[in-house]
Amino acid sequence: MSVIRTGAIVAPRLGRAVSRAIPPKISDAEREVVCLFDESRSSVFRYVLSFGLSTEDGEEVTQEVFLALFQHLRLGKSRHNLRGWIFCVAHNLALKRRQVNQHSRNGVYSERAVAESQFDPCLNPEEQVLSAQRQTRLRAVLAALPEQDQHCLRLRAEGLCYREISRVLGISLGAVSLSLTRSLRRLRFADGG
Amino acid sequence: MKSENFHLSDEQLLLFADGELTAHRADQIRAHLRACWDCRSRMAEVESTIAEFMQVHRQTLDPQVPPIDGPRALLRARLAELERTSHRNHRRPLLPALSLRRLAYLCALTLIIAFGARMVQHHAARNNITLPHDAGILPNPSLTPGATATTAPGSVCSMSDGEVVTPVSGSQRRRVFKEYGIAGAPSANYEVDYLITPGLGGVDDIRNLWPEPRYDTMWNSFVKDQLEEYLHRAVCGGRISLPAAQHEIASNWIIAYKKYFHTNRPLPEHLAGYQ
Repeated sequence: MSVIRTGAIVAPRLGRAVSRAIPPKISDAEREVVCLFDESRSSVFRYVLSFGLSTEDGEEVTQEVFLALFQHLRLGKSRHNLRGWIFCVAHNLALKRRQVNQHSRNGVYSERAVAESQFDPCLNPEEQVLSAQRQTRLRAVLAALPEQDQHCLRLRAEGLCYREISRVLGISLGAVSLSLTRSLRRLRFADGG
Repeated sequence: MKSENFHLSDEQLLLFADGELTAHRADQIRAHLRACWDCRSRMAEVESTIAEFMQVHRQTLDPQVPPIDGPRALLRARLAELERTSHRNHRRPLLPALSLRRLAYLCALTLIIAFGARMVQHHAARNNITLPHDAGILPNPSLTPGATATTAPGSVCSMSDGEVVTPVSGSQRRRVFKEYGIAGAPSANYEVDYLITPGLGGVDDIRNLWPEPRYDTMWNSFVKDQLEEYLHRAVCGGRISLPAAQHEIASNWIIAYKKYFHTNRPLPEHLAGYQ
């Protein structure tokens, strides 16, 4: 599998058609996939990264998701809730990639991520320290959450409704609701403490 | 009946905040929040925690997401390549592309799958595996025959939101669970619901309450809410008498739902919150 580095796109092996003067005709499926890519690539990328994947792996998995979507559309399969479908595929591919890499971590909120946290320039130095402490507490609680609870939170953060989350994770709607409630309660206490 | 002694659970607050409730249920929660400072302040805490989480989520991950232009160009090139490849493969007949070894493998795989499916069917039939899928969608009539305070439509139609929305107290919930022999069941999976809703003259009496499944059946509490709302409007609009509405919902609310909504299944919009 080719690895894509940020800012240095690996040129794909294109056929002779690319060198033709007339650009190839864009199919409806292709156009739709690119549209959906523009809409949801950031969300999918963030979700994939939350499995502890590197940026390069995240980029590759995200590409694979949309290539799979292209095949899905071309085969005339169900177009019902494509966003849910995209996250479902992203979830499975990210899990697979993490297993292959065999360097799973306790989620995205790792030490590296903490070190990379940004400060809000609108805050004064004292507020910045307090804000950083609060964020550190939240990250610690997030990292301690069961993995499924973290997935629920991240999917919700990316705008999925409960029904979509339940489909992506293969759990009941009630389990989604309880998971989110439980996680937010823990975060709330962390924030207060 | 007043609602000030009751508070919304964190789960109810979150479902409301996330727009996961039916319109009727959301109205009920909104009415409660208007009246209850305690729940409103907890609601604010929930919202504030969500905002804090989103800040951490974005600040941690956004810096790692590269600009979209390069990846989009790469995707387009890959799609074009895929399109051409599949065009070429499309023209090629299928069978010559499969070696004898692959064909043999496919045949063996098909046989294994067919055999496996047969075994599962056989096992299921032998053990009579049936899920108690619709257990509890109707109350036990000997425990919950229904109880009303009035049969005068004027009194139910003049009710405030707070009176129509009458949450069941924790102690009453525990009594109902115990009565139904499910004292240890996860309370989130059931709504202790009024058989005859206060909006139709029902009262907070154990004979009028039962643990109604929230999630595991399509005939769940969210669907019943829609019937309750419909009947309340029909009574107040003079289209049906209050005693008739009370009788229908107490006898078999599912039959009443089918009758009034002209359907054998819950309407999709009534399953918007839950399925």
